[in-house]
Amino acid sequence: MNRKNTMKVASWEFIKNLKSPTFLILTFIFPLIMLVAGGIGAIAGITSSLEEQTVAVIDETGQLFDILEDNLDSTPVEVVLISDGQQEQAREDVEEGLYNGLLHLTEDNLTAGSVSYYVKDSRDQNTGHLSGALRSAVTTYRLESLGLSGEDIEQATATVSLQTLSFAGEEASLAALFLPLAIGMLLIFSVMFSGQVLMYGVIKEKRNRIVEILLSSITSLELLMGKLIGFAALGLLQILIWLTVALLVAGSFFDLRQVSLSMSDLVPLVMFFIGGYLLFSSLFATMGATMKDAEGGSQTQGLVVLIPMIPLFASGAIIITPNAAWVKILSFIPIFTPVTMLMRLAATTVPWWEIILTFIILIIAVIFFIIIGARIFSRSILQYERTLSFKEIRRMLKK
Amino acid sequence: MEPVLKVIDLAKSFGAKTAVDGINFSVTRGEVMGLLGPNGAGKTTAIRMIMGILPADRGEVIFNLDGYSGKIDKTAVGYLPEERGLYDDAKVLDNLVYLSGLKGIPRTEAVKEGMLWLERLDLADYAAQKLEKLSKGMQQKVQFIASILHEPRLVFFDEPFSGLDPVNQDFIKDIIHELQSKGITILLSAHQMNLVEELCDNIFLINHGREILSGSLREIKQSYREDLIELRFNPGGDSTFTTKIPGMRIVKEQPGYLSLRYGGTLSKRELLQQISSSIEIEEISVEKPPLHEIFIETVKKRGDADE
Repeated sequence: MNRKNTMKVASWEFIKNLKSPTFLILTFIFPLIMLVAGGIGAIAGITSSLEEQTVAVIDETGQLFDILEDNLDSTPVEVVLISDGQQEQAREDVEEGLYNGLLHLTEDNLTAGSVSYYVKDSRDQNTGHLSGALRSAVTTYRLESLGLSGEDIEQATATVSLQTLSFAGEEASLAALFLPLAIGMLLIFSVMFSGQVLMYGVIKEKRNRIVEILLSSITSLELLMGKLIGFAALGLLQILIWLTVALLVAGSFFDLRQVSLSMSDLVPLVMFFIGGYLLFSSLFATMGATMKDAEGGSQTQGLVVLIPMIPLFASGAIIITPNAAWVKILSFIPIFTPVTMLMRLAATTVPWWEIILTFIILIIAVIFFIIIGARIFSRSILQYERTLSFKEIRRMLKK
Repeated sequence: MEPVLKVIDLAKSFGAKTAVDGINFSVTRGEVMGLLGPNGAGKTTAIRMIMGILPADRGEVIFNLDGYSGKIDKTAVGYLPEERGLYDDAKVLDNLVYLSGLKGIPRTEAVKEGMLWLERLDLADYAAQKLEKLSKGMQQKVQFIASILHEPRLVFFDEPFSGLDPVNQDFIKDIIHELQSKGITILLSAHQMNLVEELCDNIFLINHGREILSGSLREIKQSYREDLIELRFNPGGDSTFTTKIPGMRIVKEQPGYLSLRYGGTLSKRELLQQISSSIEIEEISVEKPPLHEIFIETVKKRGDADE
């Protein structure tokens, strides 16, 4: 393999794709969408907790209403006491929207542990303040009826929270948790995006017939490697842009000094990013070489490129239990290694021997994929007329 | 003279279909060799194997461009594929610089040489345009430049004239002549037999993946048994005498005009005497039939016999 040729292909692909609209859109519009989506979610959460509500209460216990009113003092929810006889009227008022709801407190349903709250539309679920205040009001009411004094009740109901610390005394702040996770996710997205762009690039070169000219000057391995390197550089640049934007945005929300991202955290992230990148891209490029065009032909190829992303669908579970046995097993299956390890590295401290071992497995898999990929690449890239079936691809590998 | 390219028993099949079935030929330095054959005869597959783009099932390709024989030196070879292709979303000059860069030409030199060629082919104004803005014929010329910009010592032109108007065909023809005079070896595949006849020293005709005719174009024509006679005469004369000459047959007959084929034993002088004694000749030409007809006849005869 001629390194010079590979680098020429790499720099051509880098510059050409840097200027392409696809790269610009993915790099700049995507984070914008993420930010807007995140912003809408946050705003929606804040506004729903700020909504002013008026709730009619029928209190058969005679004591709960006062405690409830006290508890709701600092919230936008207002309670209005009505007598039992006004129930029909209150019901009409709820239907007309004068009250947000009608709360019916009886001794019976307190004993049963379930209180009825009538609203116009039972899908209306914005009852956060009310249910919190009611729960603590009922507790206070029950303790009072057991004969405890106000002070005793306060002592008995004082809240306790769980504080997670490492033995070194480090406290996990929100930012320290959030940032590595965000970096992990960004890396995965970048790998997927540039892999896709790479695949369509190969398909286009095939459709343009340019590939025949290229192969009259260089080998298919040089072409494939050049593309992989060019797109890796592009992916790194994209990550750099995203990180800069992310840090600027995050810096306005969190105190970033709390986040200790040392080299020992970063190096494995970068290692698995590059390894994962090469694995995905060689897979994508090879699939591209066997396809006639992006639309037609077999969609099986489209499914193949989804396989490495499977761990992404279990991302929730992996992040919560990053050291579970099944997650560890997943880390050692090469095709799942990059995504799983990126998420684990973000979520926990992975033992160094696991990092090294999974990385070695990943590198072996990458080399294997590139060799196999170049082989399929060189044999299928001149098959212009159709998309290859897997039977044909298997035959190519045997030869 | 030592050949610069030697093809030995080259073969390739795709599944059950045999595309090239053991062909042999060699090309000497500075020669223009015509690789001819009907559509689907296996020309492009053969060229791809020679170029090292497609692995051969069997056989050998030996290059001798640098004075020693061995495998292909891709930087010394140029290729204009039949299936044209460049980056249509990149600028014309950038396309040329990149492709000649892969052939080992440094950027500055590629820009300079590229501009010279673009000027010569009337494309200088488009150098900074994206390729997709150019007409098909213009793109074709850019592709042609890309195949020779790096000054190869051997070039394959696969259908260089297709899609070009007569003016541009002449441009390309002139350049091919020029390359040949510089000692560059050229392999040419084309369907325009008049142009092949004009340009090629040797031809290699294949059909169904096999050689059916090869050698020096002049010798092939000389050895072609029949002559083509075109005769214009005073319409008053009686031309029926021609049917009495052994080996003579009439291809076309009009009042005062005859197109004849002669495969008999008489010399030209004797033939002329016979004709002029019977009718009043206004104009006569006796020559070997054009390559066009040799091509069609050979393909029909040898090709079908193959089946």
